[in-house]
Amino acid sequence: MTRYYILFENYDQGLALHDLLDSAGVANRIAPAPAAARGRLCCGMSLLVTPDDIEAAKEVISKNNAVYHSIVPMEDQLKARRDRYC
Amino acid sequence: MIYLDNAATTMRKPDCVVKAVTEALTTLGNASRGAHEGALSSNRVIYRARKSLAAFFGCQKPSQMIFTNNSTEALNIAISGTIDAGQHVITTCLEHNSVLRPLYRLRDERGVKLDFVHADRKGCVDYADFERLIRPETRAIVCTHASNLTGNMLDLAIIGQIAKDHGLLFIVDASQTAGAFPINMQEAGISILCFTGHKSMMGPQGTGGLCINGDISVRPFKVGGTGVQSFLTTQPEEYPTRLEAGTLNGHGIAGLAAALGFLNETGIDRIHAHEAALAKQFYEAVRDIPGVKVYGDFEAEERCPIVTLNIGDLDSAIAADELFCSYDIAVRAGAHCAPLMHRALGTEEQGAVRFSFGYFNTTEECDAAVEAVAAIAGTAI
Repeated sequence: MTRYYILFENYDQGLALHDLLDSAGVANRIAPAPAAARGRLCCGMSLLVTPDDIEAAKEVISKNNAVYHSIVPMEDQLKARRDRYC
Repeated sequence: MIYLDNAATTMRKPDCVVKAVTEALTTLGNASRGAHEGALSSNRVIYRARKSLAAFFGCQKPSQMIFTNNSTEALNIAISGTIDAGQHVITTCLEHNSVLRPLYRLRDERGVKLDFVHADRKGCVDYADFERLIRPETRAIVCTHASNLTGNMLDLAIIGQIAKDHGLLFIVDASQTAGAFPINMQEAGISILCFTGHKSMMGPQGTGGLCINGDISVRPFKVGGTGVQSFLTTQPEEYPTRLEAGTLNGHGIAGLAAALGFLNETGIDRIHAHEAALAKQFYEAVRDIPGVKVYGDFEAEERCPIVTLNIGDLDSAIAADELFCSYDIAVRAGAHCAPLMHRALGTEEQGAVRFSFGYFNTTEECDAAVEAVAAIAGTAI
């Protein structure tokens, strides 16, 4: 399954969008930013969003002029054991 | 939650630390600001803590035990306050960004030249490299006592002797070792020792310091209110005021003093023995799991209780996410603010998953972590 990681320059940007997505009822979860996706954004946080929710997330970003770095799709590297969004 | 991120901070603190901070929050005034009981109560706490910490690290003059908010601040003060334009500094590839970035800044702003002692694929250095890199304009050796990524330690006595033989400053980042190993500045030939209070010292975040040996003059990194000599237009010259502009974190320092009492009472050897046993138990159990690659030198006599690994080609962040979401185990993934060490290990792209053990961890928690790693190794695609 493809998962979308929204990447940020810092934690404050990420937590701000997390609040906006939560307020809008868009499922998302804070996760470590994948090493493979983040390039220079080492040690950062990301927001993990499913393919079903990514367009809604983009709408929230656009509507609120939310700051983020990039959105990166990645295939899951683990056999599906769980996908918990909160 | 099974907390195995003690190299980032010891999240669980001794009860006496919690009690000391709580009490301080309602009893301490502002140290050095007035002579009423509130201000003096804070002065007394800080004065005693300063003396105790100086004794703990073998700093001969308690007035040269300077309080800071963390190691990074201490290192910035030490590095920017002693190294001038055009001078040369030797450091290592084991360093955290708290050493690297202040040095890079001096390189960019003051033309300071840097040389690095390299590490091999196990994260080990060749001590002869320190001597080989010395030039006529070399001012200092700045290095960590232990890698926050691999847990490998450097022998301070060897490096201190080299620094002494060549008349160099020896500035040490003891972020990972202060409180975990005995450190005596005199025996190790350390000029300036930088430490944090919230890791193995088991104190609150926002505490730390630097101990300055002998008559080394360190330029102030910040200037401002001191509560004394108010009509001076410049920062007072005397230590510790010289380097402690602004209100100190008295509440945190009260907690740090209590933490030091806990370390002394419990015995840092006993604390380290427990942590080392957990790390060894974990290492010996995970090293043979198919697909698991462990980094660092585990044949060394002394090392920090850190085991860093990767599981196959699994992204370290995804492994850490899985450990937390499915097993409630907190570890640190990614680059750990140690870019050169990752480059030396060949883990720049994948990052690595760091398990770090603390005094309050148990063998049962260690077993659970082993089982989780084994299970994830079985599910990694």
